[in-house]
Amino acid sequence: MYRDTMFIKQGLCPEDCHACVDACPHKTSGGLAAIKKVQKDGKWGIAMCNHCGEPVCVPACPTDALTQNDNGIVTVTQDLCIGCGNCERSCPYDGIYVDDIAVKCDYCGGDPKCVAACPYGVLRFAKSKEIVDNFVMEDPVSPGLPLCSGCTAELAIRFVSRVLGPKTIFFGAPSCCNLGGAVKLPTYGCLMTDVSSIMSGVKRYLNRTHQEAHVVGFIGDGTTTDVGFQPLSGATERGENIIHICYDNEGYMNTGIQRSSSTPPHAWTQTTPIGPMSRGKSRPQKYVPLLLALQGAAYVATATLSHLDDFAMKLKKAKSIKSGLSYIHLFCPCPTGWRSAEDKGVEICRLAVETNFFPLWEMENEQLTFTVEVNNPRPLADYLQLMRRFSHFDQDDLDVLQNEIDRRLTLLKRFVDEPSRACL
Amino acid sequence: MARPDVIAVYPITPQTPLAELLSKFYAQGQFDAELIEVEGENSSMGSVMGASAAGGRTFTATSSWGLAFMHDGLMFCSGMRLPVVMVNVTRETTFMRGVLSSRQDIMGMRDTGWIQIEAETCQEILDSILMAYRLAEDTDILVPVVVCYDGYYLSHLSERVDIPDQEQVNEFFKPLADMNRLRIEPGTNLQFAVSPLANDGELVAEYHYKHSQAMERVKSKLPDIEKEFHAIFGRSYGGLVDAYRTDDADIVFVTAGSAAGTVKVIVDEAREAGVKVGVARIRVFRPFPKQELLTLLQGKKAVGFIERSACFGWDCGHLYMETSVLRHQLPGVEFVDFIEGLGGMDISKDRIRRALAVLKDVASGQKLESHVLWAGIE
Amino acid sequence: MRMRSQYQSLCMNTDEEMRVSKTDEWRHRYPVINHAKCRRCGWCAIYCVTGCIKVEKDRFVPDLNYCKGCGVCANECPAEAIDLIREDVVN
Repeated sequence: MYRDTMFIKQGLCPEDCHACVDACPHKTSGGLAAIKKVQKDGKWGIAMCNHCGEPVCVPACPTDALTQNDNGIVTVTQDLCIGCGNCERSCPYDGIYVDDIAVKCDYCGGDPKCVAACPYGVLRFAKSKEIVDNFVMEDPVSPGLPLCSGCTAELAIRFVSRVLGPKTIFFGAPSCCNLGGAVKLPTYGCLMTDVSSIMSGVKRYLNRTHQEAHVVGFIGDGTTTDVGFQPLSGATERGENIIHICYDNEGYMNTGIQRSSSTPPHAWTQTTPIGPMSRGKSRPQKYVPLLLALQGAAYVATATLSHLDDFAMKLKKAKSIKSGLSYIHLFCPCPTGWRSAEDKGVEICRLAVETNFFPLWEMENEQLTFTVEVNNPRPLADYLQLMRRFSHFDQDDLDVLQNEIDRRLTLLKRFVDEPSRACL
Repeated sequence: MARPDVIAVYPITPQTPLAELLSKFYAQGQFDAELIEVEGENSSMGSVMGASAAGGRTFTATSSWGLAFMHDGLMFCSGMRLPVVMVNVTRETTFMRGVLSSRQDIMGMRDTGWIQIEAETCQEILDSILMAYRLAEDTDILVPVVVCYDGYYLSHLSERVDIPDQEQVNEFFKPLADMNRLRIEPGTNLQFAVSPLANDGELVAEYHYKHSQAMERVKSKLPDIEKEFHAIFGRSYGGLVDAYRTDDADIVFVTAGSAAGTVKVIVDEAREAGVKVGVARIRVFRPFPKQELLTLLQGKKAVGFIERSACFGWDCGHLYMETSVLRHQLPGVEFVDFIEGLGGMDISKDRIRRALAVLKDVASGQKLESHVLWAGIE
Repeated sequence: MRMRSQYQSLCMNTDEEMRVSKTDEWRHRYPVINHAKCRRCGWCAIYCVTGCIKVEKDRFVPDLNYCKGCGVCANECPAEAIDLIREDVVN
C-alpha cells in the first residue's frame, strides 16, 4: 500500500518529442521502449503500464511468465515467455506488448529514467509513502466536519494536525475553519483581533512552566492580512515562539465571499462585483509572507496542497523553531467562493504553482530559497479558466494579473541573490 | 508582590509611569515574570487572556483610549471567566488629545462584565490590587477585576504608602496551582471558548446568568476578604461602600475615587459647625452596591452626588443615574447631582462647600430649578 | 434553577463529546474504486478532503458514512480508477 506511482499529464506532449522513449532502458539496451507515445483526440500523450493493483495480464499469461512483487510491479520472466500476446490483448492500458517476448515498464527498479528526460514536465514519479511517513498521529479531526464539499482547508487541517502531532494547541478566529468541538486536541477560539496576542500569552506561560506544546494558529487570510495583521506583526517583532499558518482562500469566505486584502486584483467577490464601474477587486494583493520575512520572522514559507512533501517539510521546520515566530502561508482554493468545481481543489493548487501565481519558497536564517523550481511556467489562462471568479477576464485583466505575477517573482528572485538584504 | 506570571505593558498617559516602572523592576531582576511589551492595548488584553487561560496569574494597565482599544477583549475576557487583574488610570475619552482626569473611560466598560474597584488613596490602590487577585481567583467568582484610580490626582501625585512584606502577601494569597479552574494545556482536549452550542440561546442565557451570579457573590466575599486583609496588614476599607460619618447624617454625599478625600475634609469642617453630614464613597462600582446604598441613604433628607463623569442620553452623572434605581425605595430623599470633575477639573474644597450649601437648602425644603448641576456651566 | 452545562462559560471537552456532522447526507454522488485498476498508490486517501478513504486489508476503501462526494479522489487518481456514481436519492 502507498506504492510509488507515475503521474502523467496526458495531451501535453509535442508531436515530435520522444525523449522519454529514447531514455527508456529497455530501448537503450537494444530493444524497444516500455513507454510509448500515443495520439488521442488529436493530442499526443503517453501509454505505459498502469501497474494495476490486480493486474489482468498476470492471470492472462498461460505460462506464468508474469509475476507481481510486493511493490505491485509486474515483471516478465524471459525464459517462460512464449510471446503469445495474451497479455497485450488483455491490457486495457496498452501498457504491455510483445516484441519477440513481452515488454513492459518496471519503473526502472524505482527510479524511472523517462521522468528526468522529459523536458515538458509530463511525467512525475511520486512516492506517497514519503508523505504518510510525516504523520505522527491518526487524524484527530472529526470525521464529519461541516466544511464545504471539496474544501482544501479541510484537507489542510487534517494534514497539518497529523504532521504537527499531539502536543499541539490549535487557535482559531471566527472563520471557515472553526475547529472547536471537532478535534481531539485542545483548541482556543479567539477573536480576529486578538488571536496572535492570545497565542503569545499562552506560549509565554507554557514556556515559563516548562510545558512543551506547539502553539499553532490555523487562521484565514481575512484575519492574517487585515484585521489581525497588527498583532501578528507585533508578535513577529517580539519574536513570540508561535506558529501561524494562514490558510489563504483569498477572501472572507465564511461570511459569504467578500474581498480581503489577499484577494487577487480583478477577482470577483461579493464586495467587488463586476459591472460598468468595476472589474472586480481594484487593489493589488497584499503579500504577507514577504512582509513578515522582512520583519525578521524566524521562519517564513509559502506552501500548498498539491506539493505535500514540500508542505510537510515546511511544517516540520516550523515545529523545530524554538525561538521566534514561524509563518506558513498556505494557498487554499475555495470552490464555493472561487466558483470552481469541487473536485478540482488540488489541481488548482498545482496550476497556481506551475503558472507562478503562487511561488513556493521559504526563508530561514535570513536566506530566501525557492523550494520548488518552475522551469516552464504554464500560461496563466490555464489557471484562470478553472475558476468562474475570473470568467469576466479580458486581455487587459489578464495583462494586469500577469504583470503582478512577473513583478513579484522578479522581486523574490532578488532576495535569493542578495541574502544580506532579505531581513532588517 | 502578587507574583504575576505574565505582564503586558504599553504606554498611555497617565498610566505610562506604571509601565516604565514595571519594566525597570524587571530589568533590574527585581521580579520574575514574563514581560510582554505589546504593540497596542488590544494585544495587552489578548496576551494576558492567553496567559490566564493557560493557568497563569497576569497583570496589565491602561487608560481611556487604551481601554477602548481593548474593548472587544474586555468582553471576551469576562465572558470566558478569566481571573485577570488590570489597573485603569481614569481619563477623559471625549477628545483624542485630552489627557485630563475623569471617570468617563471606566463608565464605558460598565457592561463588559468586569468587577470594578475604585481607589481613594495610593495606599488603597496597592491594597485593592492585592484584594483584586483574591476576588478574581476565587473559585466561586472567577471574574476579572479592574482597579481604577484617578488620573493625575492619584497617578502623578505622591503619597506615603506602607509597602507590605512579601511574607504577609504570601500569607494572604492562595497558591495559584490549587485553583480549581479550566486551563488550556497540552494533553487535555478542552475546547476553550468554542462549542457548537454557541448559538443555543438558552445555554448562552445560562452562561450570562452564571456570570451575573458570580459578580453578585463579590458582595458577600469582599467583606470576608477585607477581614483577612485587616488581620494581616492592619487596614480595611469598609467593603463595597466606604461610609464616613453617615449614620446620623441628614445630608450624605455620594462619590467615588480621590474626590472623596476632599469631601471628607468638608464633612469634618461642617460637623464642627453642627451640620450633620457624611459621605458614602462607592468603592466597588460593579457589582453595584444597591443594598448597601439603600440601607445607607434610608431616611436621609438630601443626597448630593459628586461626579467625575456624565452619562450621555441621561443628562446627568453616572452615580446619580445608577443610584436612581433605588429612588422608589427612598421616599422623601432628595437627590442632587453635581457634575464637578469633567475634563480633570479640580474638585476643590470650595466646590464641595457650595454643593453643601445647595444640599442644606434642599434638605430644608427649598425647590431647585434643576437637580443636575454642571460645574463650569452656571 | 436547572443548569444544562457544567461549565461557567463557553467550553466543551472533546474527550467527552465530539462534533460529528452527518456529511454523508450532503452528497449527490459517491466514489466507486475499481480495485483491479487501482495501483494501491494511496493518493486518493492522502488527498481525500474528509480523510474518509482508509486502508482495509489490501484495498483503499472510502467510508460512505462521511464521504461528501466531492470527487477530489477521482480527479487526482493517476490510474483513473475511481468513478463517481450519482446517488439515487439526493437530499
